[in-house]
Amino acid sequence: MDGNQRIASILHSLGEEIIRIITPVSICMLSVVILVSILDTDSSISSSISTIASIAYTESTSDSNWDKFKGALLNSLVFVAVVTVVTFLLVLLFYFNCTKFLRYYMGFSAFLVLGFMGGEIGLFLIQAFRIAIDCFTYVLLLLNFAIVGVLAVFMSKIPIFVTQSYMVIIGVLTAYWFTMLPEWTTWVLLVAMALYDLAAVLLPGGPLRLLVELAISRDEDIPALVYEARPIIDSRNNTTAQRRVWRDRRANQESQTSPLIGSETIGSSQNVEEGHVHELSVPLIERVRDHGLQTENLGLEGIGLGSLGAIKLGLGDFIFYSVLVGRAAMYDFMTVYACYLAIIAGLGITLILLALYQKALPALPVSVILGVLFYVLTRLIVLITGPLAKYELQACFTWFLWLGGVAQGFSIQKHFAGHVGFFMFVTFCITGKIECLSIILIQSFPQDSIEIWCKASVKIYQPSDIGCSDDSNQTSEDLEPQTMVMKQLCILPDHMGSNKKLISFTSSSSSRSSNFPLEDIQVLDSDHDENDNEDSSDS
Amino acid sequence: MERSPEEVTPSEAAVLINPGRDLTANPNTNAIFTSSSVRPEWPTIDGPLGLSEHDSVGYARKFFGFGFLLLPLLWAVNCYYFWPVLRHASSFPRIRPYVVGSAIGFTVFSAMLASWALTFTIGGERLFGHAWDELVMYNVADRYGLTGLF
Repeated sequence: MDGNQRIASILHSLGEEIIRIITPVSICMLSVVILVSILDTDSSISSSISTIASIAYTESTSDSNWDKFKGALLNSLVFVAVVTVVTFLLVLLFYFNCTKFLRYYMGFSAFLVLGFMGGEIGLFLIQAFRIAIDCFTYVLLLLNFAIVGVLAVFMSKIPIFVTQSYMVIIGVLTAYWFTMLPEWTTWVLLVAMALYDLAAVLLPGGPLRLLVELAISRDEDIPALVYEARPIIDSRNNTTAQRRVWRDRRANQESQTSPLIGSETIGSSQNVEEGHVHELSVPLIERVRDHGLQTENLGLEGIGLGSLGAIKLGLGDFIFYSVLVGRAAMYDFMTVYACYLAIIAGLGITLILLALYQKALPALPVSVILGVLFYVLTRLIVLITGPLAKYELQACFTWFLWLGGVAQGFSIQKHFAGHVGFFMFVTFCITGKIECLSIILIQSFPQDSIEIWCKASVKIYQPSDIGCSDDSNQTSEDLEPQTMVMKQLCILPDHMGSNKKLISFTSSSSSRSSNFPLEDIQVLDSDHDENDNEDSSDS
Repeated sequence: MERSPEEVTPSEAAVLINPGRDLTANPNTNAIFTSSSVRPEWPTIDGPLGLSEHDSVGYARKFFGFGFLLLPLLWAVNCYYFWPVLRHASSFPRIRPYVVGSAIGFTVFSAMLASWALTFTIGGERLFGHAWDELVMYNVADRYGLTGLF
């Protein structure tokens, strides 16, 4: 009875810890997806981005696929090489105890990311929404944000929630910046980083493994950007006592009978950090870590368990997961769902492996490989069968992944994951089906009915409403036929009563506007000269 | 072997109140026990994971001081961090002046900033004339090419 209760509470706290790491990862991914879908910077800015990751080859749209792939491979190799060199440098500095320098570098890179990248993305948002903020206020808010962020990263005496939020924000900003890389480079880079992570952590000579072993042997924290989940301190005292027992290998029978209550136990959590007695290797939770490195700002990848038994996940993992999902968002939302579920499934698998093997583990490979696999499969199948199959495919993927997720969830924590999985499944299925159905419906409308609908809506418009102005939300390539149509409609009132064929005019989907045959416009204006038509269309 | 929360002694109740959001239970015991007769043991919102009272004084003072460098967010973080100090009026007499000062400073500063920003946004060109175009952020960004930095 007692044993069962203890097992149940172990599972409960383990499940809660897993939820506490999946929540910030999900928030990071969601933010990047939202940013990517709001800010359409793919076209103009990405060509001018010059980073380490695109130093070797700049992708242009005119190259063939094979050239793009070769260029992407070259880029990724350069990037991985730079990351390896910097990681070895980090190991060297750590070996010579230059921890202060590393912490200053960490603070400096956090300031760069928060101040400059955050400022730039803020500017994108301001320009996209035309927010009328003045420069003094903006600079003041930005400076505040950046300086408090540096403090949060630097010092440990900041509220845990604030530190965690800033970690997630740094991850979001860096990930958004990485999504501005060219497409092929991004995907090959993700796979390359996954392989690098695998090699660097598991191979005996890998830099990350050396780093972790150094940190363990010296019993120190690695000075790097790592997200640490809040450790669980349960109100039920016997669970807290159990965590304490977990930390040293003394007899387990102390847990139920010893007077480990209240302040004594809670106070000991402070001692846990300093006291070496409690930091011994423990049956389930071990104080081992695993970190990878990411060049620009010492964000680490990899997953491990912190000194209080809290799960630590390197910031590089956040970044690369979000880059994957952000890139998927640039294609379609259903890819986002599938890639998100693939990543969460991979993360869950990694956490289970962590509990099993109790040693340093890379967090990138499983999730990234699964995510890339699903994305590639989706694109291939869409290529073969056409756009509608994508939704059916995504629904299938979500179903399978949800099954896997629920199986994991039930095996870990009975009460929480089941409900979440169910709601997610229902939401995805419903949204997927609605999208599917609506597209089928729209494409099956007879052409005449659309025209009749458009005639009715055009009659409502007054010329001043149409205004011969271009403030529509269309993209630039759609703008011209639309503008021409609108300009023609400006001179329409004379012809409204006539029984000439009207233009099919919708302002909804951009794909429609490109279907407008210009001959229709000229049919309408057959009363005028051809010259008049061209003049007014040129104006 | 769970003990229901009402049975715990006051010192344990003090501990149970403060460990932040980690407690799934105890909002009711908060209401029962947070009279001024029960003093919370931890001055920070993180409870046992945060600072002890002795260390907090220095940090509260430093946050309060640095906030004067036009950093109202630091004042806000100070108030959030030492929320138990604000809530329980008679406890932690050494920390309280700094935290209350931070709260007042944050309110005043944000009121001033908000009024300036709203005046700028709503007033627009009618109020500022030519200067509005020069001050508004998206024009400044265009003028100096700030969005192409990275």
